[in-house]
Amino acid sequence: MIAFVVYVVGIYLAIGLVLAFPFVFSWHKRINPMTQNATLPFRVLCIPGTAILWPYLLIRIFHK
Amino acid sequence: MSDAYRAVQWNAHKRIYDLIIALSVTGFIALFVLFGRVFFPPPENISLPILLIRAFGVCAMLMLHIILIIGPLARITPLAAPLLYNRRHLGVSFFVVALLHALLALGFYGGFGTENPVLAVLDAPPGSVPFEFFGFLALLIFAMMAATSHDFWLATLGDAWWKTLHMLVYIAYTLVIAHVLFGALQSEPNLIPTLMLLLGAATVLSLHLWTGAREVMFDFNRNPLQLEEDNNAEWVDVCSVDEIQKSRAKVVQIEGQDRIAIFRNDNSLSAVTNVCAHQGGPLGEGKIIDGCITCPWHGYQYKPDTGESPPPYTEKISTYEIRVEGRRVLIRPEPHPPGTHVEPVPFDPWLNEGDSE
Repeated sequence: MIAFVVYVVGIYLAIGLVLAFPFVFSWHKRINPMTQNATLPFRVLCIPGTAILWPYLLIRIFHK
Repeated sequence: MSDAYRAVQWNAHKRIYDLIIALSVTGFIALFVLFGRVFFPPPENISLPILLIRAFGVCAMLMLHIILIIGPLARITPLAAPLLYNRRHLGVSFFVVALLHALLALGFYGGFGTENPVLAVLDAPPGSVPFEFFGFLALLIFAMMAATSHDFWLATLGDAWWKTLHMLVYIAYTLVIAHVLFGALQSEPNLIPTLMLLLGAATVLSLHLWTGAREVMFDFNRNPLQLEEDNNAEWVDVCSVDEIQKSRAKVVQIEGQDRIAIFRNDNSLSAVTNVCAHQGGPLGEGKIIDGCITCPWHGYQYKPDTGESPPPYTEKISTYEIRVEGRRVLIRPEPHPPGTHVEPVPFDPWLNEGDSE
């Protein structure tokens, strides 16, 4: 059971990490236009949050 | 406050705050290890890696308790408001300390083996309480909170979702208590650490209950001001000008409306909603600094006459029509849309009760 949870969390975060890069460098501005001129350190700082919340963010983009 | 997003919105106060956090954490870890080496010297007692794991663990517990009591304490005494001002950075620092505790444990107990180190640490023997797994789940919640501790996430997720996400801290706190209670404390012959843990939990719980009860009693004891059923119905007599201190506010509640904060800026009055646009902080418990209403929680500022944040910031709050008759303050309970200009109402501070203006 614990192994299952650990692997699910790992796979979920790995997918999130891959998706985080297009999000922080391009897609975020479709949800929040204020990120248009955001600094590079800010974009890097957004990677962990994006890797965690990627399903929500994808829904927001497609819903739009 | 929202302008262009930056990684960290530092100012002079926040730099000092962060410096104090860094020095306190470093000092605590150093002292913990030093005392550990002096009172429990190797080889027969605690090894350095275990001492470090414990140092980071105890430090994280202490920081978590401070974080959890800052909110209710700030409701009780304004002395705690400076701690609340930059609690976000304290929260992220706590996560880093907790993560270091976890990584050290992972390396020490699970590293250099043939099994996946995470599974090696988390797999509890049959029949035992999986306290490591409790810690793992709590760390996932703290990671989510730390990763979203930025105004960008507050704006992206929306106030309600962001708050719900961050309320998970109470579940994580319960998991941490279980992690320590069924973990480190099981092998601890001394009762003092267990008592300290229970005392910490009791403090967190009682402060939350106390401030929660205070809020309930505030609403219960204070009859909302009733709308008058006459020709003057749209105005409500809320208080006397003498009840409002300079640069401070009086909070009033009118039936069917949100709380309203009436601020006195020099000798004029302005009324705005009591709810900060940032995280719903109680504006009426703040004060006017540099001509702006300043939220006691995170220092967000609004101009009293328009409810707008000073440029380049873009936050807005609702304003209300206000008027003064003699010493009495009257309010029109319908809020204007956020950012609407309402001319501040001047009054004579030396006029006596009963005199006509």
